[in-house]
Amino acid sequence: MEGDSTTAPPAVQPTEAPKEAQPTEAQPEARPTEAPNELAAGIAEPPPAAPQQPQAPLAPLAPIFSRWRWLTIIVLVGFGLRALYALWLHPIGDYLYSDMEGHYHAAQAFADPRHVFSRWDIVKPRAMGFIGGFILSHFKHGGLQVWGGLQVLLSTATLPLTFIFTRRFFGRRTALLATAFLAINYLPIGFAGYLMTETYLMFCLALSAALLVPERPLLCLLSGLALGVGCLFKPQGLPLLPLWALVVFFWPLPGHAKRSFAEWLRAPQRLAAVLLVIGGACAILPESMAVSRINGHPTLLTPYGGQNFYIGHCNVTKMDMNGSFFAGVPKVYQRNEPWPDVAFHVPVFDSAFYVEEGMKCFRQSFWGSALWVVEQLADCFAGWPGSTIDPWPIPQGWNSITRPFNLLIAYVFFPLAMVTLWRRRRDRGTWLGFGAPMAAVWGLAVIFSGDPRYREPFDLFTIAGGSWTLLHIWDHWALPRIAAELAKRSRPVEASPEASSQVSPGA
Amino acid sequence: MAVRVSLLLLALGAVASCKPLEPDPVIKDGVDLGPIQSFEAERIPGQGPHVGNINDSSASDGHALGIFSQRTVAQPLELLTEVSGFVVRAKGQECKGWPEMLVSIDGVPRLRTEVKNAGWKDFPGLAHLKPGRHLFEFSFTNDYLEGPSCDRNLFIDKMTFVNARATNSGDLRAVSMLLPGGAEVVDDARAPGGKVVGFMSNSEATGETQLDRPMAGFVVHARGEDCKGPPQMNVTVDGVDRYSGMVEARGWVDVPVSAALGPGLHSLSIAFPNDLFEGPACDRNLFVEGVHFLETMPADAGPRGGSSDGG
Repeated sequence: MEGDSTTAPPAVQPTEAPKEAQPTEAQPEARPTEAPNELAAGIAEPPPAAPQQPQAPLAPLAPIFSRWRWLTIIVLVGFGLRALYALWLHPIGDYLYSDMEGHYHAAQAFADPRHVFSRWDIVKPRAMGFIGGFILSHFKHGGLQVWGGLQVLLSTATLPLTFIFTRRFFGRRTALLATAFLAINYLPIGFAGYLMTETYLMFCLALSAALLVPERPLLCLLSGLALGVGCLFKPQGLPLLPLWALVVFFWPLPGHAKRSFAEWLRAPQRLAAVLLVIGGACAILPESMAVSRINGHPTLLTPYGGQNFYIGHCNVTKMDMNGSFFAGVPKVYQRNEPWPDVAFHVPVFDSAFYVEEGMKCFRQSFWGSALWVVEQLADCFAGWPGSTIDPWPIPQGWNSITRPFNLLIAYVFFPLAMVTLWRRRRDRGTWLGFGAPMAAVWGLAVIFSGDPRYREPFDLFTIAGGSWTLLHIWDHWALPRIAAELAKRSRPVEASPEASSQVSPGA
Repeated sequence: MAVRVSLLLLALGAVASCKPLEPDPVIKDGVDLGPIQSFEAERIPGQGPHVGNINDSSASDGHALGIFSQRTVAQPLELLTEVSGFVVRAKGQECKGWPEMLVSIDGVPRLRTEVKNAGWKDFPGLAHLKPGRHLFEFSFTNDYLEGPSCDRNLFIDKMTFVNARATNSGDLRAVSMLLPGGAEVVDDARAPGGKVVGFMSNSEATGETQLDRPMAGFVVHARGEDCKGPPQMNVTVDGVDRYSGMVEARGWVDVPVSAALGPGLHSLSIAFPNDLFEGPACDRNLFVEGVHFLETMPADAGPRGGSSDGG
């Protein structure tokens, strides 16, 4: 796998290389010192291959295990935590609320062979209902545990996929560190236990990123398809598709030689970008056509996008649409703003009406709207200065353990990832691995509203980007100091009079 | 640097001084499509044992605000659109008299009424308010207590706002009235305009109209859906009960209401107080198309069939 061409190094342009050295696959992060350190050794690149030695019959497996043992351990730990939480501590159906309740009841309805599909079946992600319905209809007893098991497996599968794409974009050690943090991060563990569509979107995002090799158009087609499937579960993945396509389309060609425009256009990256979009469209368009047909007017994926837009831009606490569909933004309850509830005598399906109403609020005050947008950007990282919401704290329901992980991502990984983006700004892989996903998160915040829930599935990219700088700090700042300190402490012992007196000059 | 600071200050100044536009309510085919703004009274913070949130399954959201002694509670609210009035849903607990409720907006008294009902009732008031923040105050002015068995209290469920628009004149279409939760706009090809109001659960619609000449009364164009009995319809004009009766016809009928009304602005409310639902096969509902004013009332005071299928 290491030698697989799909893991080809990102095309680092010698001409574009920044002044500081940019570690890539071809040039893995180099440690400045060889000072012994167990942690560093644990995630370090293996030493160069030794000359071939005669080995025992079972010996070939040993180097493979040695090479993958850390990833294996990380994945096993991640699996154990997820299984413990989703199957034992918090089994599906044990506690239902909001989206989870919607998916649960949709699955139960879809599992019923007498169910007559109606217009209302399209107001929740169908993909979730169909999966749940399929499982519940085929596993009468323990169907919910089987569903929980699927959640666990998908969430666990996200780990090696994250390793693959992070290794390609940021290097192997960064990939191990990022995967290790993701394995113990409570947020995806909670998503698995709470039957949330985030689990499916995160899996699809990781799979899509793992398949995103700009030099391989066919893999990019599959990457787009994976992202499109993720959007069927959670449409918030959609903005990433054009952003990734844009980065891949403008992927530079290796070498210094000047090329004609035709030659540039014929490069596989250009085709890869187009196929990426086509792959995504293959998953998204059939669903959108079906929803449009039921809805009676063109609709992209979700029939309630207009309502989301309205509630994102108008100062309201709760919306009632024709007495049959209600919506609220959790963060508004926290803000305790003096905002009214609103009722419309218009069905939720009329997205165009709600977008128009939302635009009225947007046009009310340009500067007020600009300030609001800035707030939304900050609100993606709840708890930030300037954000209007607490770092997660829906009372009763979300355990407080969510809070430290959210804070860690907001205050540690995100700033570090931004540093990574700046330091590696000329490396397109960094834009695929963090820049574009972060732009997608903020794009959603601007169009709809800033909410940590819109960010959390994309955390795997933030963790990957942040891990690179974290290792960089460890290698270039912490480790030399630790080594120097160790050396300083050991020197007086060697140089002490007692020590020197024990060594006879003639010895 | 100075340029950046200037730009920042300019932006901040613009934010502070920007006067909001006034988005108009959406009126389409006479139907107010919203946003109909409201707020739940129980969101007003409690004040010890005197004011607090109570559970009431018949209130919207299952909660209401209880005021148990002579107190004034206040709540700021940001209105999105211009409004011309409001409706407060309240009920009282009697003890040698009913509670009196005073509603003030921005310090100006707008509604003072005796809440003489043990069940929820809508109390309309007039107030022309611009979009933006306003302070709403609710006062319970005449508390009385004679022990646990006799305690006069006031309960407020919610406040709903009437969007500002050109005042209706003459006949009043039901879809143009303020429709709180429980009343919906539904399609009915047999009714003029094709849209009527369906009272699907206990609710009350409120409207206003300007009359240019004296009227002897009006007819309410309505029909009912029976479930172990027909729906009841109560009609109030200018706060005075004018009609209360069953709407037994499944087809459209004109229900005559005698009420001598002079020229000027009048408020009118139609209530459906006896909802019953026992599944799709048994659902008691009331449908109203509108109110048509008459200069002379017909001699026959009983309901008349108003359409070919009326009965």
